[in-house]
Amino acid sequence: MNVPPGEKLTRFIRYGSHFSIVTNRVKYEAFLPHKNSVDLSVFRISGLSDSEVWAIGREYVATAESPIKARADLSVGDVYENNLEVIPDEQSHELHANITPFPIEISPTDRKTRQTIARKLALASQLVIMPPT
Amino acid sequence: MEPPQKKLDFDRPPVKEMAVKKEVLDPSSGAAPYSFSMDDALRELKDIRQEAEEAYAWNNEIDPVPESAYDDALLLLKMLFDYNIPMPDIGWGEDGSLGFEWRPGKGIATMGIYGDNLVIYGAFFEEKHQVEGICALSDTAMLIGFLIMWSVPFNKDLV
Repeated sequence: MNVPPGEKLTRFIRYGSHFSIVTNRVKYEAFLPHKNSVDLSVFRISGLSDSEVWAIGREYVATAESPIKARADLSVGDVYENNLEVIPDEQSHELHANITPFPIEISPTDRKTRQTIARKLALASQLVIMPPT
Repeated sequence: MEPPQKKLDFDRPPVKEMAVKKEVLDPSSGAAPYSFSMDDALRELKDIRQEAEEAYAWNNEIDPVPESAYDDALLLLKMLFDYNIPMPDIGWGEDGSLGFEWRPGKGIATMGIYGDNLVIYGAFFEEKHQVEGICALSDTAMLIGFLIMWSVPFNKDLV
């Protein structure tokens, strides 16, 4: 079952080169999954406080080597406008979901499609920088 | 592997605008309104490489960026520099790619490199102007033409 279009999502960002503080924008690479993955991992954050959202990132996404640095917030509606789905995937966390389906990368055409999706999601998203702890 | 595609699917700007833009971007014109430092670009590429290699070392689900992608990125940066195109934001993807990105106004333009001598390019500005395609890295005319064409709707608002 798809997530309702009015909900808000976030994708946690662990790499400094996936966003720009100068332009205050998320780079499209933040929305590129592994080449054999059809899913992009996100969390449903409607109704959560900012600190509750960061707590999910710290506990369920960050690693010792790669702490959370920022996040990309976007609406489920923006995802649906790009002919993608948002499917709940509650195995790791009750608010975890996947944006899907990205094409599996077999040919340059698949890469082009994946980059087009990532470009549109990046444009629709809003950068939120991790506050100092 | 299928052959590189050349696809431009948005309305071309008027010839007069194209001519003006080409003059601005033509290295022989002497104009350098967007010039950037190759030293800065190389430094950023080096930082990107370090981050991508560290990420791959810690997470084997990430696809490594091949050496050839860095070589291709260098060639592309040199091309952008030669044609006075603004320095892009450089990044790497978990799919083993390097990416160049520009954000003019409310739009976005990107070039993706995987180290196979191909460039995957695309631009998106609202829903009226879209362009995307795949071409050989050596196809300077296509790549520069792409940047000229998509930038016209932004009224030279390249940043």
